Amino acid sequence: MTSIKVENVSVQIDDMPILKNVSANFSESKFIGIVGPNGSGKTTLLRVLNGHITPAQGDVYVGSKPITQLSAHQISKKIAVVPQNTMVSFDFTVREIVEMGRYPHSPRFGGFDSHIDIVTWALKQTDLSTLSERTINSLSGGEKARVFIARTLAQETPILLLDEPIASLDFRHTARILSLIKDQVDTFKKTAIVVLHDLELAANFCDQLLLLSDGEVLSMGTPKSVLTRRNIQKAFDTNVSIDTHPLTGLLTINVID
Amino acid sequence: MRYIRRVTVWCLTLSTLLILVSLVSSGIGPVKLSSNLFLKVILTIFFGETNLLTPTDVTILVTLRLPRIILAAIVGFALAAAGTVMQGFFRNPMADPSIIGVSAGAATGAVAVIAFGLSIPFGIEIAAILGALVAAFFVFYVSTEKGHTPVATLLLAGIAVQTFLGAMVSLLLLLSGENLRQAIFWLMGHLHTANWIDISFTLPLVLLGFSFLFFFTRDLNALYLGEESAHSLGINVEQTKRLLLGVASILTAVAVSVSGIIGFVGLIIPHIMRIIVGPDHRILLPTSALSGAIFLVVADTVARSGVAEVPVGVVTALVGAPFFIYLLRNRGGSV
Repeated sequence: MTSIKVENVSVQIDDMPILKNVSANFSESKFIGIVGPNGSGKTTLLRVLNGHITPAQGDVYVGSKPITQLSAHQISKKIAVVPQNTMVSFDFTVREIVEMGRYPHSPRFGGFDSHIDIVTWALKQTDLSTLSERTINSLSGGEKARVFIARTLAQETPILLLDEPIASLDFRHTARILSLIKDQVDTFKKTAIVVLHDLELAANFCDQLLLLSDGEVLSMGTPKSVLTRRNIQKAFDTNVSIDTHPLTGLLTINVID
Repeated sequence: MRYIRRVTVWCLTLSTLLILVSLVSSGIGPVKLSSNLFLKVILTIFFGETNLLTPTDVTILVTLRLPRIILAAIVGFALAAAGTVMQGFFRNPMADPSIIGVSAGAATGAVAVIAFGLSIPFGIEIAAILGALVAAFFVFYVSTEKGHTPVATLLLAGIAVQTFLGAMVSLLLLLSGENLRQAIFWLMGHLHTANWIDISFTLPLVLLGFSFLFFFTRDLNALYLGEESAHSLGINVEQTKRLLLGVASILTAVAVSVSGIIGFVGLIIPHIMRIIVGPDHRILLPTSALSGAIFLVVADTVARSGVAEVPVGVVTALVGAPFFIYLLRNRGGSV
C-alpha cells in the first residue's frame, strides 16, 4: 500500500495561479472525491498527483519519496489514471487497450501473453468480457469509461486517479461505475481519488471529500463535514439546502434561489 | 505466443512476396534478357553453372536492375515505416513522413546543388540529407517551449516551413537554366540513378533506424491514446517524442536523398495495413514497412517498363491518389 500526499503545492499556467498552496493527505484504501466549481483546479490537482505537471512550488509524495525523484515508469507502477478525455482516433479493440495497462509490468516485446489472466480478470471485473473483441469506437460512452477503468485494474496499482469518470453518463452507468470503484477500494484496499461534479453522488459514494475553491483547499474530511451550507455558499456562490433522507440516510442537496 | 506468431507469419509472408516481386521485376525492362532468366540465375548462384547467362544479362542485372530494385525496396520500406510512426505520433491519419518539413528541406538542398551545377561526388545526396535534417530540426526547435513540444504547434510550424521552402525551390528552379530538367526529375521522385553506393549507405541506416523504431512500438501505441495516458503508463513522453520524431525524420531524409520526393507511399501504406492488421504498432510497423517496399518495387517496375521512363513519384501518386479516395469513400471517413 502506498500513501500519497501533496505539500504546499502551487501551480501557475501562463502566469495564472491555478493551485495556491494546496496541502492534502490522501488516506490509504479510501474512496476520496475531489469536488469544486469549474476552474477551481480539480483536474490540475489530479495532474500534479500523477506527476504529469511538476508544481512551481511544493512537493508530491508517493509513499515516502517525492514524485520528482521517481521516473515515469516507477510512477506507473504506483498510480493508474483514467483521463478526462478518452477519445481514441484509431480502432483498437477493447482487449488491446486493457492490455496496455500491462506495459509497466512487461518487457518491451511479446510480454503480454503471460498476462492474459490479469487482462481477462480486469475485463470481467468491468463486465466487458463479451465486448473484448469490439473496437473502442463502436462502444457507448459508459462502456468506454469502463474500458479505461479496466485498464487501470490491469495496471495493478495501489492508487487510482479518475478525472470525471461519470461525466455525461446516464443513471445506470453512473451507479455502476461508482460502485465498481468503491468495490476496488473496499475489496482490494486501493486508494481511489476521483474528480466528481455531482455533489450528491460524491457525498454518498466517497469516504472523504476535498473541496477546492479558486485553487485553494476550502475543506477536507468526511462528506458531511465538507458539504455544509456555508462551504457550498463560499465555493459555488449558491444558496442550498442540505438534508439527510429519513429512510435511506442519503444526503440530498437542493438549490434555493 | 499470440503476438509473436502473428508478427512472424505476417513478416514471413510479406518478405516472400517482396522477393517474388523483385524476381519478376528483374526480368522486366527495355532490354530483353535471356528466357528462363530466374532459373538460370538460380543455377548460376547455387550450382556454380557459369555459361548460362550472357554477359549482357549479367551487366544489365548487376549494374542496372538489381541496384534499382533493391533501392526501391529500401526507400519504400523507410518511407512506409516513417509514415506509420508519424501517423501514430500525430494521432492523425493524414500525417505523412515529410510532415515536419523533411522532404521540403531535402528538395531545397538537392535543387540548390543541381541548379548551381555543382559537381561534387554525392553532392545531391549530401545536400538533400543536410537540408532535410536542418528543416526538421528547425521545425522542432521553434515548436518547443520549456521542454514541451505540442503536437499541434509542430504540425503548423511544419506547414509554414514547407511553404517557405516550396517557394525557395521555385526560385531555385527559375535560376537553374539548363539544369531545370534534371532538377524537375529529381523533384518528381526517381530511382533511375540507383547504384550500389546508394545502397551501401542507405541500407544500414534504414535498418538501424527501423530497429530503433521497432523498439518503441509499444510507446507509440500508448501515445495513440494521448500524452497524459502515455505518461500514466510509464512513458517518458517528451523524450520519446523527440526520439521518434528524430529517427523517423532521419529515415525519411535518407530515403529522399537517393530518390527525391516520392509521395503517397508513406501515407497510404500505413492506412491500408491499419485496416488489415489493426492499429497495434508492434505488428503495424513491420508489416507497413515491408508492404511499402513491395509497393515501391512494383511502382518502379511500372515506371521503367513503358516506352519512356516515367518518374516513379508520378506512378505512386497516379495509382495512390485514386486508391486513397476509394478507401475514404468505402470506410465512411473513419480511416
